[in-house]
Amino acid sequence: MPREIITLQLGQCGNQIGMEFWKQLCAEHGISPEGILEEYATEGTDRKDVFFYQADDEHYIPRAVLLDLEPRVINGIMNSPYSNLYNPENIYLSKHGGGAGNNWASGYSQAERLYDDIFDIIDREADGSDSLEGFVLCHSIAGGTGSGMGSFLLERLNDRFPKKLIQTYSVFPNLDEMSDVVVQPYNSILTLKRLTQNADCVVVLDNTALHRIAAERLHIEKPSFAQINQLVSVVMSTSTTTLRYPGYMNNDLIGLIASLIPTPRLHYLMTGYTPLSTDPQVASVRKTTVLDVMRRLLQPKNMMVSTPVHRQANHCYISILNIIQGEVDPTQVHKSLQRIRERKLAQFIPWGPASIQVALSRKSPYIQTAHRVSGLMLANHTSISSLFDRTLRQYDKLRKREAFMDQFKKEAVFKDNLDEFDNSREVLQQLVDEYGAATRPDYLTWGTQQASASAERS
Amino acid sequence: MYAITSKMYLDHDENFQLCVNFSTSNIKHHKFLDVDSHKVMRSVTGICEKLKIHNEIKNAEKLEKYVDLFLQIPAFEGKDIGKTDTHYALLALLLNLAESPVFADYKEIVKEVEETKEEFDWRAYLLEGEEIYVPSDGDTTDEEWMDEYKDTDEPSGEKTVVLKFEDDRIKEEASATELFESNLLSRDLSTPAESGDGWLINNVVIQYWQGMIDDSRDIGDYPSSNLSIDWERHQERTNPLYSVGNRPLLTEIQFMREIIWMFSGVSSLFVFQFDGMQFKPRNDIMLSHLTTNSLQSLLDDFAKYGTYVQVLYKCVQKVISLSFGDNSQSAETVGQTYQAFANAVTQFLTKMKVDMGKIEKRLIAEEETITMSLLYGELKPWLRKVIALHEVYVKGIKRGYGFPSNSQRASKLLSAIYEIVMEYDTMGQYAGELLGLLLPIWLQTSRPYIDIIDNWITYGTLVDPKEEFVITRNREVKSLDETFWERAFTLHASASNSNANEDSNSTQRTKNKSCVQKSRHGTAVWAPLFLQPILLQVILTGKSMEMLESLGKLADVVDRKDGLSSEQESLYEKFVNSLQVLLCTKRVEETVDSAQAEATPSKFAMFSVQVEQQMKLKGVYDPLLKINFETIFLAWIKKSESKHSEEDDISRILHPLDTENVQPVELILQQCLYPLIIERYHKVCNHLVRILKEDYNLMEYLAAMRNFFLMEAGDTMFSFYTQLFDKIRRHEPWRDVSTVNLLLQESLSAHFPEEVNRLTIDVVIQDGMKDGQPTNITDCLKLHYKVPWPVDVVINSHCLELYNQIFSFLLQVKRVKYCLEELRFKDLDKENILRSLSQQELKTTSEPGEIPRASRVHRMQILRMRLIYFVNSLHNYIMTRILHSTGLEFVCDLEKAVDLDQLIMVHNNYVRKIHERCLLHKKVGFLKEAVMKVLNLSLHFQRKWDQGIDEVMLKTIQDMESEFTRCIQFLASFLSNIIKRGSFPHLESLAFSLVTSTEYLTAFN
Repeated sequence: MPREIITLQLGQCGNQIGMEFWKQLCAEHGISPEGILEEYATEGTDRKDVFFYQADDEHYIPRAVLLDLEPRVINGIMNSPYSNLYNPENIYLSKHGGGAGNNWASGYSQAERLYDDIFDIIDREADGSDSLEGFVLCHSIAGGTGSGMGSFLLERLNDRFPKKLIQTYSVFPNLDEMSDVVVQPYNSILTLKRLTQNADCVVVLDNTALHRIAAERLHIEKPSFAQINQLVSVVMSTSTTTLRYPGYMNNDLIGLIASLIPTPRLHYLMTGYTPLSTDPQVASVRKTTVLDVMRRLLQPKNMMVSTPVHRQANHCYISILNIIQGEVDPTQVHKSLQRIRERKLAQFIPWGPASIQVALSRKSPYIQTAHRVSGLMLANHTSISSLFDRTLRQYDKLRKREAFMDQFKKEAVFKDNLDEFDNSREVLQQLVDEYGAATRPDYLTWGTQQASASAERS
Repeated sequence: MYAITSKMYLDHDENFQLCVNFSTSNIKHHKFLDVDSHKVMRSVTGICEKLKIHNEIKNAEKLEKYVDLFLQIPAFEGKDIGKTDTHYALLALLLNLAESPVFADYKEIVKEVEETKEEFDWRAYLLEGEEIYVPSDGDTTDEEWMDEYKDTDEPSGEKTVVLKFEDDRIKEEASATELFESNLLSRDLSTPAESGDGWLINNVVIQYWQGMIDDSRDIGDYPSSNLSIDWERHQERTNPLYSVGNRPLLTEIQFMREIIWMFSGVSSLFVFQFDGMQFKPRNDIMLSHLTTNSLQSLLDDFAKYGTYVQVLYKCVQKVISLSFGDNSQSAETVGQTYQAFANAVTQFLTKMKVDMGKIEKRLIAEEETITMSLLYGELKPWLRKVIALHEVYVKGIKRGYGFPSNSQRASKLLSAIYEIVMEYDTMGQYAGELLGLLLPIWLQTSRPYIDIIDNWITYGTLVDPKEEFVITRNREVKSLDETFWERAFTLHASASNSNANEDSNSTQRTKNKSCVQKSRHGTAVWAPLFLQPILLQVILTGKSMEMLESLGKLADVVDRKDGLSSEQESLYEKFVNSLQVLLCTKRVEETVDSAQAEATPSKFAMFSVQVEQQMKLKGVYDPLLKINFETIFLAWIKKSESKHSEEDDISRILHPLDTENVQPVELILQQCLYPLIIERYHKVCNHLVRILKEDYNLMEYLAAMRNFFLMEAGDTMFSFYTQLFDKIRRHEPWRDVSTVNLLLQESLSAHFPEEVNRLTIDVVIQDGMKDGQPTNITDCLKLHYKVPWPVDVVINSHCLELYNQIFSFLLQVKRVKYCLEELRFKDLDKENILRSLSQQELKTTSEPGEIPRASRVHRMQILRMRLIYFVNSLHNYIMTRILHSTGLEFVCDLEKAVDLDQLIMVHNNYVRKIHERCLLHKKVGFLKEAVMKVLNLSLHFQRKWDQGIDEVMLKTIQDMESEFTRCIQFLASFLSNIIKRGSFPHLESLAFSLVTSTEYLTAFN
């Protein structure tokens, strides 16, 4: 009985990374772009039914819902070899095709209007699965559709499927290209509120860090979106690998997430991947033992989230999950873990166990990699708050000048007041505070202070 | 007349009268060669002197007297006086006739003699002697003795031998010729017994056995010959109370003959008295030239050996009579080993008897001087052998009488011989001769035993009619039983401790390997010593054969082995052959280059043996050369077998051993017997293991065990137990067989559709479980996996039981893990409608000390995290460190296992190891208790969580927190101690994760 996961791809960015994700999955499972099982894909021990379902004609169809308000990316997909892969009924393009214009409010209100259409699709997908585990949402938080529509969907999904997990792969904007979308702090802060309150787990994909990694680690002068998305798809596929290649452990999404997330709001995960190489021939990393992989994963430069290292030095890991792929002896893993703990290679929270877990997973038999062992780290680290901090500061700067507020005020949400902004800011501030508190030993009693604070407020 | 005229005439012939006249005148008047009266007289005196020398003074005197008397008779030639030519002529005729009795017609001459000496009543004399004691007949040689002995005792023995070795034609022939020979002898002797001249002379012996005393006791020409009399006289003079009984005086020859008879196995003797247990020299006899004491001491020595010989005879008789007597009346049966031993001993005794016969002939011939001490010296080699054999008897048989079963006795005997062989072997050259005797005996004795082994390991049948083999088939156990391997064959043991042995036999398999071997050796004390190093292999091979037989795969092993079954040699033959090859390279050498066969010095042979050994050691040994040697040698053996009886063969085979210094016996065995068995062992066991693995899919079954019981088929089991846990959590009915089986089959159908029929699950609700902890709720689930016959020898019900225990434990851990993971923050934080309504009113009156709701929520969340961490660590530890690593080791070990026993052991070890490492063993019970406490706490926590925060008081949280902390600290400190001791390396990772997880507690508090 599979624990199905439905992927929702929202907006330009979400569809792009979703596209890469499906490409990767198809390659790993030996499914052709048309959805037909390749002849060489004879090994039947993988579990395709988590992410795919089989139509009557035996061909595999991703459990994916593609939503966008402008046709460019989706049309691109439909013109690609993968056009036949998706269920055309699951592709929803806004009729007018005007997009959301990088406006969260626009995306949000358009989604509200399209509610019935969208949820028809989602309901149908959910009904088509035996035991739905949850949803995966791919979007960016800076744009209009991904953030606005995503926010709306998060809220509604929560109401509609209260027991189902919602995991998001949220792309955070590249700070070096601020000029791209000027209102992104607005969009971000509004989306982050929903991510904090309505998502169970947010995998942060920081475009800044991805570009840095592409440039520094992969030595690409001008990394293209395709190359960046390649990185993203690797992260996404690896983080779901234990679900698709069943081992004797970690067979469900919740099992992965539960140990990572101690309290409801601290669910932003950073990722790291090693060894990285887009070109399989170039094995830029020489030695890949389990310990090497696990140690490298702890190095900040391999993190796919850019966090300033200065200021608060007491940022620490709340929990770590390493997904190791390849032929690995568990004994080695245990030894490596021991080494890491002994040498205190990672700084952990002072109020709880140094939770570093390892999930072992097989590699796809159909993809040849130059590396024997590769690893993905999902880490819950308090320094993620610096990202929110930065967003807050930028938001404050914009808000002070009331810049670009007109576009937002046009939409229904902000028609009457801008309380939503303030509200979101407060939620985000609380989140930053909580991350801050989590670095201190007295986090155990943090709830009391909050309670008293909220009591004062009320 | 005929002789003279060489013409035959009838009475009425005209020339007849003429011829008669011619003949008479020819006889009467023609002097061919006149008798020389002096010559005749000289030879008569010579005879007399000879008689005197031979201690027949009386005869000499008589002869002298009668000759004189005869010469005085005036009977011939019409003269009044004697001593005519005719007298002398007659005497000369008699003397000549006496010298060559065979040349003439015997009967006629006897008549003549009787005519001449009619006044002396020889016949009466003769008859008198015959009536008294036939065997003591002076003329009956030793051969006749043996013959008689055989006639009375041996027939059954012969039959035994024949029966036993029915195929042994050679042997039969040998005994036939022996019989024939003895018949001849007795026929030869029957004639002179009636009236033979030589017999008459020899028979003139005082009947000392009748207490007759020679009158001429004080006759002696030499002072030394009167020593005894002188001594006694001296005694009489000095000691007034000293009295000499009427002692028979015997000659030394008589003594010696008695000694020889004694060694030939006669028990009723005069000099030595047999009291049923041992020989004692009679103390009222004397020898003319020895004092009584010295005579006694001399005779004592002989008597001792005589006793040994007698004991051996008795032993042989007993074995024979037991094996052919009424088996019904006596429960005691005699094993083939005993029979073989008896046979070997008989052969030895026969040989000895022959030798004794030769010595006696020499005695009778009286042509050389033999004294008792000389005889002693001559018999020395025999006596040493007798000692050795007697030792064997005492150690092997006498001490074995106490044992109730044949197997024990047989093995005791074999061990004893082996021990003694070893003992003499270590003595090196000094005992070379004895070794030459004992080794063949040992070989012969061990033959039935080796044959049993051979039959068992080559054809898979344990033919042991007398139950003397150390292993016995347990009749109660059918071969299609899962306990077959463990219990089908049991070691014979004395009845009292057989049960204990059996128990240890079955339990020992669950211990580790070295332990098994130790205890096996413990129970194997009843196996013959020489077999002990190899016993394990023998047992395994035998069992494997039986197993193969019941699998119907026996032909694979047997057929391949003896495609040319007619030429197939038995194990014993092979053993002997290889012994020959090892020991008698000389012979091989001889046959190879027959030109210098005889000339080849034995040194050369030895050298070549050593060279061969050296070559073997250095690894440059050429197997082709060896094969050549073997084939040549085998041909030679076949040739020789047609000619010689087997025992001859063996002794000849071992002949060079006598003088040469060869390898220790142990080494011989190792090189000759063990490789044969081990070779067989490897072949059979490997085949069995391969069949199990390939034809019976053992590996797949083992994989299934791991997949389902140990949940290595993660997703399948996951989908099974998550549905189950969901049902439990939702309080839906789940505890019925059909529901559970449906869930299981549904899960299986995805990836293991073929297992659906084999794997079932059972719900066993025991009373004790109901009031148990929440974790025990799943304990009622029992997995059942149908394991077909040959595989269930490995995966037996005991293992399945252990598997099930592990399964239950895993299920508990999985359940807790799943429950904790499924806790959603929203559920905790949900508004309790009833509560919130009432809370509005009660808000003001909330208990003092109760911290705000958000704070409680927070604490619950943190506690959840800690619990999850603990359960995850535990789960991780079990699934990876234990199941996975141990599984890898297991697979590795499984590859190495060469026989089924190892296979079973490896598997048992594996299951036990997992069982132990999953904290299920009693030894780590307290650890498990702590772990279970946490697991129960977790489930309790889950219930609280699901009720919502409003139901959870601060105190409850604090209680749970403190209990959890207590447990985890206990575990962490305990485990870290264990790690420091280094006794449980596998626990290290668990301990480490727990220790690091409690660091914050110690730092914080």
